[in-house]
Amino acid sequence: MEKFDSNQMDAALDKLLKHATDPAIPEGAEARLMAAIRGMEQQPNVVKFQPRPKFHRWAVGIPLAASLALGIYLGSKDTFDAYFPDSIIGGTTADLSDSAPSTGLDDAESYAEGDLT
Amino acid sequence: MLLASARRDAAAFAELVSRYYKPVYRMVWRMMNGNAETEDVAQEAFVKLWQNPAQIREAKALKGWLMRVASNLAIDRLRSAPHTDINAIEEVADPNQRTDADLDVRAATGRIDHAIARLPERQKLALTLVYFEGMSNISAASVMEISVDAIESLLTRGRRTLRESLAEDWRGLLDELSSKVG
Repeated sequence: MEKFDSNQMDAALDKLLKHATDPAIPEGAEARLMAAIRGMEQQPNVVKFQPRPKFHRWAVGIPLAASLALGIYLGSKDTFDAYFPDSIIGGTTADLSDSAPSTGLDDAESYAEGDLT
Repeated sequence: MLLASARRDAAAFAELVSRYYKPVYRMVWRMMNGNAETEDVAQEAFVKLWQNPAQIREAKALKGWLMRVASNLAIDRLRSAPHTDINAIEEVADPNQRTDADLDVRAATGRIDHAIARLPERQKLALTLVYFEGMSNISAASVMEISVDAIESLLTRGRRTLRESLAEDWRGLLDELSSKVG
């Protein structure tokens, strides 16, 4: 086989590429495209604006105000504790009403004397 | 014209089609190796433009946009149903009676087309845009959304691949083509 140098091969390739098929456009292709375009439903490209449902900001305040009023009312009454379980209120009140609060001093003395019970 | 098309002016769009249909069709034909679905794919690219013309902001970007969309559609179509049957090229009918010389030239052309068809798709696209559609490297790089260096690399590799695949008989091809075509 005859040898070619790189430049000759490039030139030869360019020549060959010029002989590649130049495809013929099918007859009526553009007309078919335009028929398809015209046949398409012309859809609006703007989405219709849907207004949000009316919203009254002041309505949010009603339950908050009611809750506040109830809190004030209950707080002004002595019966407020009755609305909470004893496990919360009872323990707290017992601690508060203890006349001799535990300081730990008695325990320290007992510990020093070896009474660890 | 682009603005008129954006306003759904079919006449203005027809003008765009007459200006850009041929290069888009040729590129898709080359990418799809002459497959019969070429027309469908080219049409789909224009339909996308019709449906969403706002994607093009400058008229000078239109051809590149169409080429990009059409090449992507062609590659997608090929990947979804690979049919690299280059023999489909024979389906491009020549209604005229052929002489032996015509047949020889046609066979030589077919071998060149076959070699191009066997290129990897990105090399083929780069070659198609630059050699067959006459686009600059910069424009072709823009279509393929790659750097100019990258397209030059693709072209170099594409040419090397073609040289290798035509190496065995390209002397004969040149002789046939030059003697028969003149």
